[in-house]
Amino acid sequence: MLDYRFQWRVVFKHWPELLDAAFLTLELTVLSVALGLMIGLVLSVWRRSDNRLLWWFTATWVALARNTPALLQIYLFYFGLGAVSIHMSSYAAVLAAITFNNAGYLTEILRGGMDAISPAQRNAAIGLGMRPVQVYVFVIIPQVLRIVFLPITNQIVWAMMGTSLGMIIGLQELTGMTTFLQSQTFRPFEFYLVAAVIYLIVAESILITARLTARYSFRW
Amino acid sequence: MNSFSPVFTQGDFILMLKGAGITFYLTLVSGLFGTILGFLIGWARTVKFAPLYYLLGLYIEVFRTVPLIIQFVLFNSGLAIFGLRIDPFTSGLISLSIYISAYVAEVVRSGIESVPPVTVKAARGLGMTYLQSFRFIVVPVGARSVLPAWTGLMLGLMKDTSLVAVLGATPPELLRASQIIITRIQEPLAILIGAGAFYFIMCHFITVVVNRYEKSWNEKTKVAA
Repeated sequence: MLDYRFQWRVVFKHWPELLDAAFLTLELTVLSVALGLMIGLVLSVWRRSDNRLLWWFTATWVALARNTPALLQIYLFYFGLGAVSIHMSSYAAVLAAITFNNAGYLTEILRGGMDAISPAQRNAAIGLGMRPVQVYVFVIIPQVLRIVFLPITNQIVWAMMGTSLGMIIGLQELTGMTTFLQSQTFRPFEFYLVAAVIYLIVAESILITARLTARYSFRW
Repeated sequence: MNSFSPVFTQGDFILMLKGAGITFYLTLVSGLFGTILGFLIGWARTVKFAPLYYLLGLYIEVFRTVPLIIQFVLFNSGLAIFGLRIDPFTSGLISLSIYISAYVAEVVRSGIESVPPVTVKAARGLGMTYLQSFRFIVVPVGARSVLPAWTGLMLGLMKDTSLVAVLGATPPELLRASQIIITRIQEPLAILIGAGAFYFIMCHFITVVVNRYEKSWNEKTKVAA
């Protein structure tokens, strides 16, 4: 029935390249989440501010990031900005687009977390004589962190999957490298299966680390 | 007008409009099949049978953590290995359905578990069979609590349909259509912003429709105080 011979040796001959590419994927994931988290933190505070301009800026960012495909965002950074003479490498374009996308989603996650903390907590903390910084550091942020922890974990995995779009604009992260290698060896199934397993392992290690962290940090 | 013109024509607009239609069609069909499949999987996971729970859990983990592009290509080349020939459009549609079913399964499970066990016990105590209590108590109550999450998934699905272009699926959906136009008229920024506007409007449309439906749904079932 199956007149197809699987050939795995050729895949493992290219193992070093795949591993390098996997590290590039991981690097992009970590960078885009770290940058996205920083921007998201600022935006989520702006979203709650009274300044209309900041509010609109944030609302627009979140709406654009969440309502258009990540691939379109990558195209915009890579091809679109080229029209106004801003030329990005495919690495920079993927990083910028996934960061933009992450920031939009993370802003909503963080805002949701902050909204979930009742104002009474804040008042009580102030009533105990805490300064505003102390209120945030000791009362609000620990609770927000607990609420947003799992959604953020999902976002990290999502960002990892998002970086695979780099393949389309010629970035050789894991998917791009796999595509390149299979085009040389004509073994698409074997290569993509190995790539899928690598993605699964990377994602599982992110998820397991997160679950363990959550179990030991949020025990009260 | 000659057939090659480096400006945006009415035909281009129609191509993008048709592309938006294809995007919508892909979302609708794979959303429907994915929801049915995901519902069954999520339901099966609430049955207290450990092997089934973990096996389906593995299914969910795999389809939620492997990038969609890889799923597309693997599915397509996997079919070729088994000697099945399916056109890229259909194969993309099936991959999308399977992909989204993994997400739907988790949402469905959390919806079923959101119904308090006491409520279910009360229903059983009134003489309902398991299926009756599921059909008349668990599903209506659970569905209300997960409707927003499900909508979010469908919006995500719409954006993910842009990836079927990787398989070279024809007819072109919105983003692929835009790319074809860009290749000819070399105006990436304007066309991409236009495509973004299309996606934005479609997402907004779905959100508004679901919100309205949700509101009328909640009104209808409001208990007279």
